[in-house]
Amino acid sequence: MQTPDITYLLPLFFVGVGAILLMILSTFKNINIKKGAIASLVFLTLAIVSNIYNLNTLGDIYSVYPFSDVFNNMIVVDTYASYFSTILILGGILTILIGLHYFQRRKEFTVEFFSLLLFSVFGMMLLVHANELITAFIALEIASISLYIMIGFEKVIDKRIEASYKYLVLGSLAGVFFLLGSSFIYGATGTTSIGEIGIFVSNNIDSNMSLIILGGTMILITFLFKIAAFPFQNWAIDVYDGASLPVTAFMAATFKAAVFGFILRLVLVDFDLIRDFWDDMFVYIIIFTLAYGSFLAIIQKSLKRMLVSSSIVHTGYLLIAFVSIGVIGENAASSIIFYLVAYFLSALGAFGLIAYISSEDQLRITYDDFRGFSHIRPYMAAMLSVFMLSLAGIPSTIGFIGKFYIFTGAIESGNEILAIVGITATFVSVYYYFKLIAVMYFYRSPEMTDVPPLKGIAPLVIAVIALMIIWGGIGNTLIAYFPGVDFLIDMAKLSYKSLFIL
Amino acid sequence: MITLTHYLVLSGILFSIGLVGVMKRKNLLMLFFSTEILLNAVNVGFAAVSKYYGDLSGQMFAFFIIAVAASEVAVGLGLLVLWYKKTGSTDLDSIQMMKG
Amino acid sequence: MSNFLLAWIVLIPFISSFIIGVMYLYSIKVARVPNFVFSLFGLSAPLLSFLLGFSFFLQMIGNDEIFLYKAYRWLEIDGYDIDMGFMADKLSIFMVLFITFVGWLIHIYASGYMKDDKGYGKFFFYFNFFLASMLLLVLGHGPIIMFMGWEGVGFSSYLLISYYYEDGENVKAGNKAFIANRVGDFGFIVAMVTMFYYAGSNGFDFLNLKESLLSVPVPVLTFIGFSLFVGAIGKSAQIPLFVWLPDAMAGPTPVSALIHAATMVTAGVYMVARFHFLYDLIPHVGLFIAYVGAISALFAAIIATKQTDIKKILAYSTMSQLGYMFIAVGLGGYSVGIFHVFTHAFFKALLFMGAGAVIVALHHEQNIFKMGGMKKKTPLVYFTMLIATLAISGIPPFAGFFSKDEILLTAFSSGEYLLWIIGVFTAILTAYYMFRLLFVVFYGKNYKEDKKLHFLPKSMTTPLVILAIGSILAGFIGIPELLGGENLIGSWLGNWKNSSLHVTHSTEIILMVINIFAALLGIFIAYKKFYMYDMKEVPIFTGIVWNKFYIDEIYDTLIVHKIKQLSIFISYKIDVHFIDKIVMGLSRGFIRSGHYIAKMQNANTRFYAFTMLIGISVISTYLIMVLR
Repeated sequence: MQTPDITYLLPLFFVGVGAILLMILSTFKNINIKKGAIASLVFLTLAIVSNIYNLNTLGDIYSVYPFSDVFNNMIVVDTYASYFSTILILGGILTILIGLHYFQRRKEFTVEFFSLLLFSVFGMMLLVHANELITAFIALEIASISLYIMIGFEKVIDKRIEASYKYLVLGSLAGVFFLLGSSFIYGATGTTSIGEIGIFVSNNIDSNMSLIILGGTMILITFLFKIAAFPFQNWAIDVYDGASLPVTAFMAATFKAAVFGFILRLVLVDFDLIRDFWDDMFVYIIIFTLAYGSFLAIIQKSLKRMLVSSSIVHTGYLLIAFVSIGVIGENAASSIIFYLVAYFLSALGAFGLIAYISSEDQLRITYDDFRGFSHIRPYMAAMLSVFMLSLAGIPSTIGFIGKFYIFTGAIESGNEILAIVGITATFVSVYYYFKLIAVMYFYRSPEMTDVPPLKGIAPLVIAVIALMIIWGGIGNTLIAYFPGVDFLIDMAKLSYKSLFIL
Repeated sequence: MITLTHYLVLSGILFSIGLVGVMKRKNLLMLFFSTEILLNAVNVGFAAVSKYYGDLSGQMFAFFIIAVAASEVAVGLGLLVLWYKKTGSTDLDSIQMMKG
Repeated sequence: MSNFLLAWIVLIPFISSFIIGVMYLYSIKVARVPNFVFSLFGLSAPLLSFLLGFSFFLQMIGNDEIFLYKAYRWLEIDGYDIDMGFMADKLSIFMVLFITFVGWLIHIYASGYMKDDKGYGKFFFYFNFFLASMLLLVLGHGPIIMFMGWEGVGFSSYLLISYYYEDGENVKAGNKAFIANRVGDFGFIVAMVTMFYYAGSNGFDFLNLKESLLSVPVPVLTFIGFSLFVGAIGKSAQIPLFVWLPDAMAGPTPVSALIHAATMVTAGVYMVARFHFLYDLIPHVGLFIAYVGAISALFAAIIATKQTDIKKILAYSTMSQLGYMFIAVGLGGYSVGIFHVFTHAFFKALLFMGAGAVIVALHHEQNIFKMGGMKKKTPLVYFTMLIATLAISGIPPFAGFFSKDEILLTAFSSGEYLLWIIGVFTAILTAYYMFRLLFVVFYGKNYKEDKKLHFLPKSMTTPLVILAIGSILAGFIGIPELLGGENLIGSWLGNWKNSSLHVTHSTEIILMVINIFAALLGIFIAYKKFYMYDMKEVPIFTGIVWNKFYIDEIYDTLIVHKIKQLSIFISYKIDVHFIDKIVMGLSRGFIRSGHYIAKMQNANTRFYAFTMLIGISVISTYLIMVLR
């Protein structure tokens, strides 16, 4: 039986409709934050269920253009997009669950916030489903504009507005380059559809490609901006630092994944033949990104800024795998996807837990504030340590496996230098990640300050994330028949394959 | 005869003006104008190429871009009003608290 | 079929250990859990495993079936797949049977011995964990799974030796055991890696290795065999890694009985037997093993003659008996070696438990010269200890006689007369020091104090009786043909027994008589010297033997001290002046550069836009250069 086209689009549909409905609901006085959160969770859950249903029923790999007469093949639903969508929706769900306590404590947050969050998730999902450049741009802007507002939502705090402003100004500047690149490509090929550009490139590989390469470079610049790679990284620290912690968690965890989701599709499908042009450029970008992030992270006193700086370093790791695609395509692409999941979990956990800790007051911000934290809240300290270990890539956490794949991939593809630089950056990262662990465990607390106890849904969710991180590191080697790392990697490989079946 | 090249040159000039504006202008309002110019430079390009190929989709994109630009400015202006109420200034350099 | 039950033999003790652990945590944190709950879980696990093992045993009778159960794929490394697999052949099932059975008895005994200990639950947690690891070791289908069990065993042994951790000495003893074992484990790992490198491609389990090792050159095989044996030395306390075993007696007596006498220490022997297909290819290494065993046997026996601590005497006797086992397996008489493992488990566990009973009765007195006259006070213990002592000394018809006789026969028939002579001489010593212990403790008149004896619960005495019966009967499964019996264990394990005994019956009889005579000689000397031993004061010993040939001290000066010096040099000289300086310098440099770079982070939006555009210009310039 033919699957109706709407089935493919149900996840997008639920999130989008949910966002609009929430916007309407927010006008009613008797809808409080909690109800809004529950409503958005319902929509997101519906979306993730329908998404997983798609992944399960449509076969190992699939790729379809739903309503192709209406959408003109602008939206593609394949294993790849569904896999990414799952991550993104999960990011939304976890953000709401973790941040709920925080949102309830701050009176600035209203129901519209959840609507924006859903819009943002919708934009990101659309981005990974996009099969056309302008669609991708609009999706990117939907996600970004929602984020601009989410960042500045607590408008009493100056930092929020500053962050929002910076992001808006610089983000729209970067977005322009995307459009410029698209117009170059449109001028060169007469189309903006991803598949058709790829066909054009392979048909005319002998003729002059400079305009397409130039356009591709401009698009890559926007991409580098959004993932905060050198030299477009300056905004990231201020914006992430200025945003409220749950929003930072959401951005750090999901946005990078969504952007990578689109750009991987673009590069793998369209620029497969001309990618070599960028390889040298990327080597320098990676080295500078890693160095810049490491240097910046090492001097930070505020925990949040340290995590943000280190997210630049993680961008560097991801780009290492990105460069390796040329030689070991499937493995490198799947290692990117896997690392995105690993970072997603670790970052969401770390930011989320700090958000929870500081939801009552703003007392715990710097390393010093966490002195002797393990004596006050041993379980939270343990979870925080797990996240730090995973971010640093210590074995028996999922972060280690992610790094392992990336570095072995780099060596296999002949980029030993990048592997060395990456490993050096990892060494350095141990310094600033373990500093927190050391501070928490090896010092006595100066005085007992007020920390919310382990109660409610947020710590539970964070604990589950911590367990997943450990599970991803050791679990599936211990107990059989339970999805673990192998499952994630296999799925990543399948989604990679699904890019090329149409 | 005005050819595609002319339009593209116009687009390029507009784009450069926009870039300089983003870098030089301190006034937030002017900054948004500059981004608008940037976007419209691209629009000109799209429309011209679309005409050249006889393919309408390029002109369609221009509309989408205008919509996106409008929404961006909407957010931006909201923030501007907020900032003005708080500080009484529309100077971009006054937003500079998070050093290091 | 029902092969998955193999996994459950291992899993049951693991699960029970886990449950007990959780309950123990609960009991110390929240509310007390009564001891009988711990006992219920602790005691049922070995019994269930035993029954499961027994069912496999029944299925194996009369055929050569090998049960294999691959639970799941554990690791996949570029085509090398490692399964979580369990294998039961006749050897491993045999081991399972006596491990679980003797283990069960010792569990019962421990439930009495540890009754008043506040860490009762913890004890059974460790104890079952040990049992599970040991079973995993025995049932693993390949070296890696075996190694997991091997490490688990070492780990739980460490935990149990330092069980009374309030006393620093015990912790030290635990450390010593752990470190000595690590040295051995290193050998095991080296052997495993080499084996994997040369023969791992067709599946890294015993069945496949058996085939693939055939094509490996002999020097490599020699290396593997030698390294493996280093592992065996560590675990089975042979020269030169035996020093931990006497100290390991710091743990509770049931631990000494189960781990350091009956089961764990025999893991080395089991390993050599398990890798028989390897050692069959390299008989010269086998001979080396046999000599190490023989020298260890003699050496330990000599030391044991002068010891005063009842448990240390037994520890050295364990080492000595292990030496016998290695003589057998080294010469290719695997079934003979395993036979001795089997009988030894009974009488040595019995000896330890008897000793433990005496120790408890005398309020934790361990010096035999402070004991005496226990025959009247604890007749049951005396009687069972007597049986065990007769068994270890090799007096027919007790268990030890048959197995020891077979070992010496193997040595003699292989033409290794020197080994045989050492063996017989050690037998004299064994009988001597064991009866010395018996006479002093049970007949001596030293114990004058009229302190009331500590009560011995039923749970402690019943296993003694069962084991005593075992010590009498265990030998009968291996009655030599000469005496009209059938060597059951030989035929059970017989498919890979290679040392055909080609000596005439008359020689065999002569040898047997010599053995009996040797044992009687030892007993006679002990009788002369120690019967009705009465000395007003506790004798103070001196001399090289009493000081265990100063081996501990030699190790201390030659190895421990040197390593300490090196560590001090490294930590105070190299580390402080060299490493620290580099590291600190680097990190300072890093932080300083970080501060410079942070200047880029000046929060000015226009500056950020500016850097972006510079970046774009650089990239564009680069592109233009590339494209041209």
